[in-house]
Amino acid sequence: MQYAWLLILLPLAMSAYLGLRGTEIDDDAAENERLVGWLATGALLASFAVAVFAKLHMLFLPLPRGAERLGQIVVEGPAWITVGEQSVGFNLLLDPLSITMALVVTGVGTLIHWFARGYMEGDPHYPRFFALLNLFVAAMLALVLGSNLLFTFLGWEGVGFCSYMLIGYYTHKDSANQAGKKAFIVNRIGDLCFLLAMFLAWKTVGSLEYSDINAAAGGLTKGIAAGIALLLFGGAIGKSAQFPLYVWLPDAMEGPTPVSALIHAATMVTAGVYLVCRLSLLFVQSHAVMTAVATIGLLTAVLAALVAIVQTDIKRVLAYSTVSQLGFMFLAAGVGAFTAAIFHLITHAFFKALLFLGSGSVIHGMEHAIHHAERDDDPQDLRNMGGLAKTMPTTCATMIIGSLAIAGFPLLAGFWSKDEILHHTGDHNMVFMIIGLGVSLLTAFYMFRMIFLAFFQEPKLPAAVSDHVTESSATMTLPLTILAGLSVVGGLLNVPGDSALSLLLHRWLHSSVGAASAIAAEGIVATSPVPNMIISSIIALVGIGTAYSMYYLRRGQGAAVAAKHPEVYRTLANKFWLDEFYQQYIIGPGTRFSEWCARQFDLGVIDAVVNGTAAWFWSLGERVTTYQPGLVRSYALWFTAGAVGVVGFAALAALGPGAAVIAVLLVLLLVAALAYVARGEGEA
Amino acid sequence: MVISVAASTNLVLALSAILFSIGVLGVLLRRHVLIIYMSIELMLNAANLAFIAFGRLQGTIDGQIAVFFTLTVAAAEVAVGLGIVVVVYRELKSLDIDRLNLLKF
Repeated sequence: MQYAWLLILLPLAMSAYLGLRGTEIDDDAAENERLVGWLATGALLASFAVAVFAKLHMLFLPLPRGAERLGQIVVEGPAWITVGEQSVGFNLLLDPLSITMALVVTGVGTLIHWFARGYMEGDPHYPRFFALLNLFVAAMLALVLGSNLLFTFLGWEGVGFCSYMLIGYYTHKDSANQAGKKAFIVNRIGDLCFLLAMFLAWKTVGSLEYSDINAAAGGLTKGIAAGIALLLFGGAIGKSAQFPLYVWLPDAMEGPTPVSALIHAATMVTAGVYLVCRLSLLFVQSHAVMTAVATIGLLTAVLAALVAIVQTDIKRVLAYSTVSQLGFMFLAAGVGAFTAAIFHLITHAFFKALLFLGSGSVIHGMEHAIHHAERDDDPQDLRNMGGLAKTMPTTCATMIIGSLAIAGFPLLAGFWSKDEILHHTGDHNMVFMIIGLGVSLLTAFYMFRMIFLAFFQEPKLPAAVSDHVTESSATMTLPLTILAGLSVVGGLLNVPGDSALSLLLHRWLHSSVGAASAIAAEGIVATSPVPNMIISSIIALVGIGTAYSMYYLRRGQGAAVAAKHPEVYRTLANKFWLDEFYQQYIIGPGTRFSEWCARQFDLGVIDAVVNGTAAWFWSLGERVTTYQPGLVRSYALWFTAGAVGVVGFAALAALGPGAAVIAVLLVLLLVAALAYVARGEGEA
Repeated sequence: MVISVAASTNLVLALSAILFSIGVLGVLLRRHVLIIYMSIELMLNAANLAFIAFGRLQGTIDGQIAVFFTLTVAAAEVAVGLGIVVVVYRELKSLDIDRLNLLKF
């Protein structure tokens, strides 16, 4: 299946082409823009087609003798690093898990590209944007399809780089530059853990191939297995924005909205969840590690959901919701429900891409209206919106579908996936499940707070603005519609039950994560998911109803509650002071230490040594120049002294030391005598 | 008093050495370019004298041949050297060697 390379190479090659030649494909600016948009989207669409083909190929490939279902295929590529017997190469690992991820990445990615063609219209750096967008997807595909940790790490760093470039895309905005740097640096902390995990795996397992590590996991000592798993999880915490490293993701909203959608839905943040599932056999070796994963996931879900309630920026509400939902995925992975984690990852990709693109459409509309009215209100602020349901009907309808899906409204995509997570969590730990249900309630509440604030309350800005908000172009609403459809039916991938069409994803992923799930499920009594479904449906409806009453029926109520508990409100609005904590205890001391280094060490030691050496040679040179006065006669004197030396040496060889000394002395005497005679005649 | 060839060679060589030394000192001590020039000629001729003395000692004609070559080369050198002296004088309006002090860092 060598053709799987096309998955990565198509967007990569297009990225290179657009990056190098993108500005000069066509002489006409508008035509050039149109071509760039189509080429970028086309490359991804082709990649998606390859993924679909690969999936079908794997479904219908003749099975090896004795195998019940297809395991995994390794497509050998060129070797990269060879050490002794061991070698790490650019090999692709094709198995149900990686193909599923590739389908999500390319599929949702294509829709986001499609949307971006409309959203970025008229942007002065259009080709750069699409080149980076394509590179982003290529890196994510390398991450997903790599058959060893090192190849994955290449993609891992690739998405980190692209996120830096794209979050800071509006280079004229200082906040965007800062956010890009923040994302990159916070991710770096996780990347260090990833590197250490690779070192440890290489030392103990002797290989970085996923299959080798998974196979060897059972034989490792508990401590080593837990160490590698924890370090990898540390990397996942950074990339997937879990507590305590989630601070970068909300700031990543500085990038253009399609980038937010790409980061949040199809690429980047899902990498951590994927990694945990990829090495599921390693993670299940240690109960403590699994508990840590579940706890961090749940904690993140709770904190982010609480913070999301009070955000006033439409994209920030969605950003915290992503953090919260990623927490759910880690919760699922932590209780051994790897299928549920991937299931939620997929459905989340659908509705979160939808919600972000929808918010992009809203911002686009608001921006034009505000621009038209020659005001400078913030187009992303929920407090400036309201009444958009009338002016942007398609966006409104799709956004409501997305919100219903994420809130867990019965029979929509999020309902099935979240419910599966909570159901499995309940089998393990009742307390976790109840907290998880609480998060579901919050999710439903904050999503519909956003919906009511943006679309249904009366417009807050003067009519000069609100009357000029128009629905976005078809280029932008088409992906919204497709994603809304997927958000409705996405749950069918893994409906519980016994029929031929139920648990499709579960059966498909069985060869990838089934063994690990079985280990994790030992001693657990599986219960029926039905009561859980009923409870979470009620909870979703309660959350939506509360939002309806607080933000639609009695409008001032939200503000009144906030005013009643100012401390709570401030804590939430400031995200539990996590940024302030970092500023106070990490960035502050770090900056002071760097400044000390710059002043004391750099100037006092490094510069002093370098400048001192130079100064010493300089003064030496100054002293030597006195022997070079420019007077011909002084050079002649040196010349003569040399000649006398040579003669003396010859005499030494011919006559022996005693006679030579006498001869030289005689010569000198003669010279002195002649000089004496010649004195006083030294006039020119 | 008959002086043997070997002994007389020694005397001639001594004279050659003295002439050579005078030449060296002339170069080192005098400042007029033409005097220095003459001192250099003196050194050349001291060398010529040594050639002839050695040639006589060995009874061959080689020493005298070498002298002819030296004289020829010296003549050529004088032509070039005096040319330079003329240029120096045009530039500096002086033939004081110490005023030619640009050959330094």
